Amino acid sequence: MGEARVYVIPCSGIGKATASVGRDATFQVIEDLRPDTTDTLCLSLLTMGDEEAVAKVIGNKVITIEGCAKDCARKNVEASGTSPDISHRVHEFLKEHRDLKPETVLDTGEGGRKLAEVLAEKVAQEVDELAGSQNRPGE
Amino acid sequence: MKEVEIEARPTKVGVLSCSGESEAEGTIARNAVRLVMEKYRPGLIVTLCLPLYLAGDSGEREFAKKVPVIAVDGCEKACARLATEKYSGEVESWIDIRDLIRQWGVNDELSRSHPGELEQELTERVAQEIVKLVDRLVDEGRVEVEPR
Amino acid sequence: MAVSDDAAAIVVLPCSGLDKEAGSASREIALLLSDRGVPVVCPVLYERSPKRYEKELGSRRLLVIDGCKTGCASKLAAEKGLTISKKLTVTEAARMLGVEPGKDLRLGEALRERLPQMAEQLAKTETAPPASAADTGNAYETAVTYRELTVDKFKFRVPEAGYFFNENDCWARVADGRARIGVSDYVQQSASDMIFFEPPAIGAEITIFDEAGSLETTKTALDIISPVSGKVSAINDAVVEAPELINEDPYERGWAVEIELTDFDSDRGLLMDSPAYFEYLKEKAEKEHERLYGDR
Repeated sequence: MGEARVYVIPCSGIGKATASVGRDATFQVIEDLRPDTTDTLCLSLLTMGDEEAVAKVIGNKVITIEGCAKDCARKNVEASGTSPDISHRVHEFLKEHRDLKPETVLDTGEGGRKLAEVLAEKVAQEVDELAGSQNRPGE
Repeated sequence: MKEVEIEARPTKVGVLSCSGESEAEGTIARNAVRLVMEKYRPGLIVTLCLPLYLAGDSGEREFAKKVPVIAVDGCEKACARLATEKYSGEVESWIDIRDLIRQWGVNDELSRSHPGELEQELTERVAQEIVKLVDRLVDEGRVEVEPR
Repeated sequence: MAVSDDAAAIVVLPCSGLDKEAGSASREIALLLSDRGVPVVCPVLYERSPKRYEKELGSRRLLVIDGCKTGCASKLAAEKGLTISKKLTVTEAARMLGVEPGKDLRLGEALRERLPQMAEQLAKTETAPPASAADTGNAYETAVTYRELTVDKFKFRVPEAGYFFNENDCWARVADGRARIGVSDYVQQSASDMIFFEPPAIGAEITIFDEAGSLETTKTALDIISPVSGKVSAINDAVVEAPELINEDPYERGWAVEIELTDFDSDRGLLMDSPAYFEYLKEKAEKEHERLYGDR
């Protein structure tokens, strides 16, 4: 894989099924949909101020995916000295797809898996836009 | 704001998992902790959310000071343990899953996104290690278990 | 340019969407209204310096223009606790006029031609003013102070005074013969992120302990059980647009329904005041929180 240009970072929420959806969506993007232009990193490394992790978010485009309104991924990216280019909250997608409510943290169920797919497709398109924008002259 | 606290009896064990997204062991950590919480020791565990240490109010940090905390890390970077030590205090026990799996003689490449039979088996084994640590705290009288 | 009577009464907040045609249209509609003397709130500046628009927003009815269903301008208004008098979503309005907004950043001719009609539709004064909280808002502006109950790592807030609660953890705040009702901090924390609010109809008769609206969260669905009897006089549009307001501020900006009271003297006897609810919650929280909702 070439050098990643867009980091997709889910929150590390362990208490909500929506966090599991965000995590699944992230894996779909970085492993299946856009493996050549994306990567992820452990959010906890940003919490700890790991230099390598901080350098990655500062030097690349970032999309965060939040399991709830506490916005941990965004806040930890901001604490590293930059801001995500795009930030999603899984429950905002639920508003548009009411029938795709995830079930549990360990098994999001049929609805949760489909919701992750919807989210992943959206993020993949955004990756294309962000990755393309990194090639604009003068940027 | 006036605060009233229900007397901080140590009736719970705090468990902080790394949940690391880029490593398979992070997925195992996350799932193992959930298993302990939901199936093996329901009502006894309070999970702490690592990113909330930085992003949240003082809830996670303050609670971790009042109860024994078990840190469950996916790898030697030990984010969960180090975060607890940084923001709250010493951990009671620490599990390094990568090291544990090596000790068990498992060298296969693991999947972070599509846990199969091997990953599920390892998750169960890690969960049992966590249960042992929790039970030890109860046996030592460090956590008061009330009949429900 | 002379300011018309309508223009003197309204202020407009457009979204600042730059990634699609509908966002550009939002700005253009606001400019058309500005030509008539209506002040325009810049959402970016408002976010950074709310005081800049204090005068306009404090004295005029707020019109909001969202480019699309993402509803950024509505959400900003909700976050700032503003009451939206009327809203236009460009994508929806355009489709009703036979135009499909595109992904181009620039405004196309087809949509541009419809903008004066949309501006007119938005600014048109209704003959009967909509039942809105703007009329009764001032009665609820007394500052609220809170007590906090800590259970494990969770902190639940309860107003120190001025609220009445039922055993369903729904509250009522009474002022001038009306009551605003909502759900408690304990409920919003336990039930998780709010994603939908279905309000009752304006004018609906509610008896104490009736359902007065329903909420759906990422975890569960629940009814708002009214602590009072009366007739529904207002709905919090901001919560309809952004139910997460209930999570952010369950006792003030997150109020759900306003009810014109019929017999609060009787209702009151069946409710707990703030101190009594606090004690009730203390006992309940430990037993029930774990059983019903597990970890958040």
